[in-house]
Amino acid sequence: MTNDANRTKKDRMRFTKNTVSSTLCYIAILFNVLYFVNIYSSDVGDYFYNINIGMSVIYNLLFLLFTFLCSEGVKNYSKGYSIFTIIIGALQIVRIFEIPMKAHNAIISLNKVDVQVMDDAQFTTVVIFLVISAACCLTAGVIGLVKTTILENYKKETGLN
Amino acid sequence: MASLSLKNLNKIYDNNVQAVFDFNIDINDGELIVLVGPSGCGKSTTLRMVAGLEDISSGTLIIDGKDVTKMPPKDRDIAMVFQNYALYAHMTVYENMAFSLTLLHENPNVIHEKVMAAAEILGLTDQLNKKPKQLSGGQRQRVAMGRAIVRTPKVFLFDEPLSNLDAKLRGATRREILLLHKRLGATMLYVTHDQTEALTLADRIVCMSMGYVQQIGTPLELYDTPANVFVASFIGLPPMNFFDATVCGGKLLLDGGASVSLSDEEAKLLSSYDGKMITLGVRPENITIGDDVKVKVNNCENLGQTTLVHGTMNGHKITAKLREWCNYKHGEEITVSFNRKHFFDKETTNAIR
Repeated sequence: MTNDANRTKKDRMRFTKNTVSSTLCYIAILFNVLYFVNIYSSDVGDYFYNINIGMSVIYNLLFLLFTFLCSEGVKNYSKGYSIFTIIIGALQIVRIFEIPMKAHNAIISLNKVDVQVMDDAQFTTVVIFLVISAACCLTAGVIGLVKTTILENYKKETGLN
Repeated sequence: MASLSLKNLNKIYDNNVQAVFDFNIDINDGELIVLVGPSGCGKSTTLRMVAGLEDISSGTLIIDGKDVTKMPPKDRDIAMVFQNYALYAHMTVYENMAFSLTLLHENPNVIHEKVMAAAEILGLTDQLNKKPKQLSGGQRQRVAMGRAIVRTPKVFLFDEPLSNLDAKLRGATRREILLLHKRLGATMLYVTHDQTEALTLADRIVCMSMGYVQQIGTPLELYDTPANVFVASFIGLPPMNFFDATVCGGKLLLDGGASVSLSDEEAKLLSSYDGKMITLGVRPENITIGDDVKVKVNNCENLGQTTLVHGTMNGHKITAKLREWCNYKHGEEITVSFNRKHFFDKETTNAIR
């Protein structure tokens, strides 16, 4: 890319939104929804009837809220929201080791028959959903951070708003 | 930019109402043509036919040498600016201006450069991140113009773009349009019912009434040598005064008894009308204090540099625009002269030349 084109691209950022990052945030929300729909449709005795699943419901609601806020924030080149989006992405990875991993390893007795709470297929599915959701958040955050830095430097350089 | 040719354009609606009758004009490259006339005269319909928003019932429309009569609007390479701006409320000024080029999948950097250039021309550089609701009427109209400019169309069409603005803003935006035309050198077709806009903007004016073209000419031609009573009454503010008069040798006998003397040239012009009744037209600004006819003053409107004197002359209403500050009282009688007269055939209403 020539210097002129590069400069025009930077200048364009003053008036255009970071739609790539915000779209990635929406995709992250979508895959998180697929994740919890998959988990909450599980019907394996009373394994899920505990405080953890309650906390999971609350976390999912907070995830939806904050990721949506982040989508708006990164769209408007906010450094803070970009960092927050990266944190949310990292937490999505951590979540794999909570409910999915524990449920995959758990075996309960139903009518005196041992049953695996989460079979391999469901485990693979929910892990994929969470990984995609996390990847989208991390990418959105990193792109947001890079673009915001470029834009801030450009504005400083030119003195434009 | 391009030339434009409208040949025998007619518009007949499904209910058999004919809105435009045999419209003919050749518009040169870079010319600003103003269609002017009262509401319902067919000027907007003509513009919409050029834009492709109305089907052409019969006739031919040629843009830049190419027959576009049956061509859909998107292929005509024209841009239209509407009275109500037609901006997208959820988009910023920048996005509104860039939108048409985005639809054409133009390179984003090229779009940016065009939008910035248009914003610079229109003085919108500081407003690019604002939404239309945060702008004044004049600024919104400039955005609408910017949206047209970025497309660099062959022809610009304006459909009463200043009608929604207040008087002060209208004047300022009018001057901006004029500057824009000079700067872009673009072919423009502009519709208005405001004769001031027509006179100040146009290279040539098309005056319309009841679907018919009444006269095409420069602003001065329409003002100075109106083709008929309609054009004479429509162009000029305050409008021209009209009186029925009978040609009698070197004089005009006005309805009601007063008489007006004619110059040799005028008498020669009216020689074939001797003994017949004609319509005499006198612009208010062509009336001065003199010694020809008596006027009974009804009221005066002082406008600073000039005074509008409304009165009656042998029972006929008359308005004079005097170039001095006057304070005539109601009922006072003054004597005036007509400096320049226009003569119209009583039957055809056409100017006698």
